[in-house]
Parts: sequence; C-alpha cells; structure tokens
Amino acid sequence: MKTIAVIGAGAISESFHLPALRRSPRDLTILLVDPDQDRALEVAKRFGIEFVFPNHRDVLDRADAAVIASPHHTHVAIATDFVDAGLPVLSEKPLGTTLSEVATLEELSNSKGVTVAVNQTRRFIPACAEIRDIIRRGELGDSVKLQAIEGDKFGWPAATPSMFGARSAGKGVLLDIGAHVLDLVAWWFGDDLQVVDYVDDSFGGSEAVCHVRLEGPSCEVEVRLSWIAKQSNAYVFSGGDDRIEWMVYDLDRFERTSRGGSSRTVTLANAPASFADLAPKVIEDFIVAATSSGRPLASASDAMASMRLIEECYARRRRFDMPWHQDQTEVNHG
Amino acid sequence: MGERRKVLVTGAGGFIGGRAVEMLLQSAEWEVIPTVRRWSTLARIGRHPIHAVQCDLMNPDQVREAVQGVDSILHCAVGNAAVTVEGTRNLLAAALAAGVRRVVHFSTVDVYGRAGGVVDEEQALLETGREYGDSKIEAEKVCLEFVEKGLEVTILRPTIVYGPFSDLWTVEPALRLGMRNWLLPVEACQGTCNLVYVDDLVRASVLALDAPGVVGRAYNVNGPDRPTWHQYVEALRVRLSLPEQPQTTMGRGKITTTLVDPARNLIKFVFFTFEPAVMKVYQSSRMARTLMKGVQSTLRKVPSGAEYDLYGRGGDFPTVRARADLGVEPAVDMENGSDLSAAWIEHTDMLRSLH
Repeated sequence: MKTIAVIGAGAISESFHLPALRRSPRDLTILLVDPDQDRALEVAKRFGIEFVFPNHRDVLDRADAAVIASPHHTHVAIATDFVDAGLPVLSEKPLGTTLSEVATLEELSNSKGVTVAVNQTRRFIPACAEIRDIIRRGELGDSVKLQAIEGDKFGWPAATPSMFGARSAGKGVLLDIGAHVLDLVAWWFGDDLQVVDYVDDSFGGSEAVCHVRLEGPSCEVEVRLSWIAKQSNAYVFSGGDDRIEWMVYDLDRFERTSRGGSSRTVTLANAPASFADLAPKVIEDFIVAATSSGRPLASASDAMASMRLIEECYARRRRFDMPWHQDQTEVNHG
Repeated sequence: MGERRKVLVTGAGGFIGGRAVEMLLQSAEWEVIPTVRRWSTLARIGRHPIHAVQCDLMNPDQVREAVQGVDSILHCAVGNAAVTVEGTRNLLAAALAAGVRRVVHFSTVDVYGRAGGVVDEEQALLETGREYGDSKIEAEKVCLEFVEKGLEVTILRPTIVYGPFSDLWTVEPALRLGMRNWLLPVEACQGTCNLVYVDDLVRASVLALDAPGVVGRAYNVNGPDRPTWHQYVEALRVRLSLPEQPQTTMGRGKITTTLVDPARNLIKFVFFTFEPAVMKVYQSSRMARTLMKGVQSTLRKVPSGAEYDLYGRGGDFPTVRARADLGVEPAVDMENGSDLSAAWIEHTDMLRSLH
C-alpha cells in the first residue's frame, strides 16, 4: 500500500489520522479530499500534503485505500464507492447512521473480499482489552453489572453543523459517543444484548443527553451520555467478588477492588499516553488487515452490534421529564 | 396563518441566545434563524430541528449574508471587547443596509458601574475598568449611532440572568455547593441578588421586537423579587439536597482571597494564552490531570475579590419602564426559578463528576 486517500479535512483528520499517517514508517503518499477546498488546502499545507481533491470520486483510480473522516451521514456512500472499486477503507465511527445501510455495506465488503475497518478506538486501549479478558475469563462471575457514564460540554471543533438539529436526522450524542460506548459493551459482553429502556432530551433534533438500559444473558448495563456537562467519565463493573472502576482517559490502568475491600491499581505496560497516540495502532491494524486479507480489530460486521442497539434505542425513544421545558413541544414548521 | 416573520438570533449557542431560540421555536409568528460563530456550540439548541447559520460578527461578509431577508434581530452574542463593540457595529451596519426593521440589543446593568440604591435607566453610565461592562457601554453608544442613522434599536439591560444552562449564575454556584467546601461567609452575601429568570428576559426581548415608542431607549429587566445572595445560594443548596457549607469568618475568608487572587489571575492568563498546549498536557499526563483538578478545586472554593464586592452590594434595578413601555411582567420568582434550575442541574448529572 503506497497511496492512501483521506476523505474529510475536519478536526478528526487533523488531530488523529493525518499525524499518524505522517508518522507511519510506511512512507505513504496522502491524497486529501474535502469539498471545502480552502480548508483542505490549509490542512494540506500544514501536513505537507501535495495532492488535494474536492470529491472522493476523483481519487478512486489514484488511491490504494481510504480513510473516511467525513460527516457521519456520508460514511456509507463514500465507503461503498471505494469498496466497489476494490479499495479497502477505514471509516470513522459510526460506520453508518442506520443498521440497514451498514448491513448492505457489510455484505458488499464480504462479497468483494475488501476490508472495511471502523475506527473503534476504544478497542485499542490496553485497559479495555484487559477488562474484556477479565470478563471473558469469568472473573466477575456470570452476572455483571456495568454503569458507564461519559460526556462533557460539547467542545469538539466540528467543521460542519451536520451533527446537530435538522441536519442530524434526529441523532445526537447516542450516535456520537454512544457508537464508542455501545461498541465496547458489545465487545465485552457479546452481541446478545437487548435494549430495556431508552430516554433522551430531543425535541426532534439531535439529543444531547441520553440514558440507556441494556440486558444480556450475563449482564445488566446502564449507559448515561452527555454533550451538555462534564461527567464522571467512569465505567464501574460489579460482579462476583469484584468491582472494577475504569476512567475513560486512563488508557493504561483501572482500579480493582475485591469484596473483602482490598483495592489495587492494575497497570498495563506499553500503553499509549493519549488517545492521539492510539492513531498509529489503528492505522497499522487497518493496513495489515487490508494487505493480508486478515480481520481488523473492528470490522463492518463488528459495527453491526452497536448499530443495532443504537437503532433499537431510537425506536424506543421517549423524552425525559424536563419541567424547565414545560411549554416546549416538538415543532415542525416545515 | 400568515407568513412568519424572520428573527435572527446572534449568540444562539449561548445561554440567553439558546433560550431565545427555544422559546421562539414555539411561536406561530416568528421563524427563528439561530446564528453561531462555532458549530460546536450547537449541542443545546440542536436538540430542536433547527437550521443554524454560521455568523462570526467580526466577519462583515458573513454578517451581511446572514441578515438578508430578516425582519428583526435579537442580538445576544457576547465576546471580548472587540466582538462586543465592533461585532455590534458590523451587525447593525449590515442590518441597516439590508432593511432590517428592528434590533433588540442585549446589554447589562453593569453599564451603571457600581451604582447603588435605586438604579433606573436615567442613571449615568459609568466605566469601571472592567472589560465586560465598559465594552457594553461602548456597544450601547454604537446602537445609538445607528438609531441616528434610521435603524430601530432597543436596548435591554438585564440583571443577574439565571436558569438552566447559565454557566455563571446556575452551574457555577451549584458546582461550588456540590464541592461542599465553598469558603463563602454568610455575612458576605447579604447584598441584593437581582435575579431575573432567563424566560422572563426572553419574553421581554420578544415584546421589544414590536412595542411602539421604544426605539433608542434602554430598559432594565429584573425579576419579580429581590432576595439576598445568601437566600439564592441557600435556595439552590436545599433543592439540590446538599449539606450546609462549612462556615468561615469574614476576616479569614478575605485573607484567603487576598492570597489566592494573584494566582487565579496568573492561571487564567496562562490558560487562555496557551489553551491548546495546556489541554494536550492534561490529556496525556495523569499527573497533570490530578494537579490541574486540584488547582481548579482550590480556585473554586475561594471566592474572588470581585465576588465579595458583588455579593455584598445593595441596589435595585427596577423594571418600571419596561413594564410601562414593553408590557413586561416578570413572572418567575426565586423559588420557582431555583426549582427549575436545580431540576436541570440534577438532570445533567454534573455534580456526580465532582466526587
């Protein structure tokens, strides 16, 4: 693999993918694609990229693979064009905005034998992988409770308004942070999870706060997500004689407490220092899978589990009781 | 139903602008156009099916484009002095050129400086050296320049605006109460807390869009009651089911403030000057995170000198003129407003992040 197209010159490309591609020892040529050519040229200049294009179709016959980091609702259509052309893709999460479009892409990926990887960054966090092993070894017993709380006041330097309001198709924090959290939950506990309850604060736009309750054969999960206020950003597992507490920014450690009360910090060696330092691992995992016909750590098939849960949540959607909005109704003035 | 008139809201990603958008969305009369400088501020109003427009008030081309076809403007945006003054000038120039009928400009009672007693709109404006109030005085002057040029501009001077999504007067007190170590002496909080619930302010601004005889005039907008700061803080604390704060004496409290304020100013300067680098360190170092959280906690528990000044000050900003000219009738008293604010704080889970 010599030439890789990066679709989208927004914040995630700038902070995550492009620095990692530039640092890659593989000496890759980068083609940067964005309809906002001013933005693309500015970013290209910063990363020393020579080739800039306005449309992803311009690079279908020039690239060996693509990283898709465009607005959520465009992922599947762009990925489909690349996979159709026999080119592997690494898509930002969420892979799609509906289960059916992700399923169609997955079928195409399988029939063509072309890799579709998803940037489910959390799977690359050593602490998350270790917790998965603990659960899989049964060390938390056969009935695990998890409370996962994540969020902060929204601060991501979004380059477009596509995640909000009418442009969002009524999907907000659940599709954004939830795509990470529910993927982790399915990765930890398996695909056999059911949505028990879902509530959010949408009035027809993108929800900014949501609460999810899930159940599986061996777990009960509560997820609380927010774009409005800083959260504890803690995952607390309890089961058997153990309690595990993992903080989202702690890539290399978590607290483990036995029922007897003794607590210890489990520290993992060789962990990256920050989320941005996970990018080279994500990129390398994708390239290895794409060039060896292997499986990436998160494939289109893997993304189906969290997409199904997200879709089930939206299908059950009901609104929080919010007395400060007592006169507010959902409006559609057309 | 006739065609709805377009009202553009600047600062729609902020506390007051956001609420204005939400309330105007319920209106059969107005079609609201929210504008923001940064898309990332849309999380709150994005819960509604809005189509926001990007409008940096310092970019005259963007402003000119945004105001095309607009009947009226609620100018809620805040920023540094340049944005407050020159941004307002850009907006009003574009509005005049585009034939906008009326602009309601959100100012502040800080334009009266430290005036005490009964402060009505006849009170002279007074610069204090503080950027916010001083730049709002300049912005009001810009408004009056444009009234002379033929643009209809009405100025609102709200008091302490609180309610859900208010960082300054709802979130911050709640977080400090939640930390359970706010070193605020009760006797320091006996000044008048001129609270106005955000919905009352937005209702006043919508009335100002059509009221006759209000062009070029300024209006105080205050709430219906006049609690002390202590009563307001207590109302929040009780509703959030938080324990009483540890007590400290006035003398000890002020000494602590005198010691901490220079460090507070230095840290603010460093953070605002080097924010990207500071955040990078925060995210990549556990030790840095612990250290920064400790510093933030210390700064939060110690009130600043400016806060002592505010919490101890008397003064009333009557809404008499707004009642007479605009038909404003503030409806949400402290009890009701605190109920709603505390319910929202609990809904956000923000106090859980403290422990």
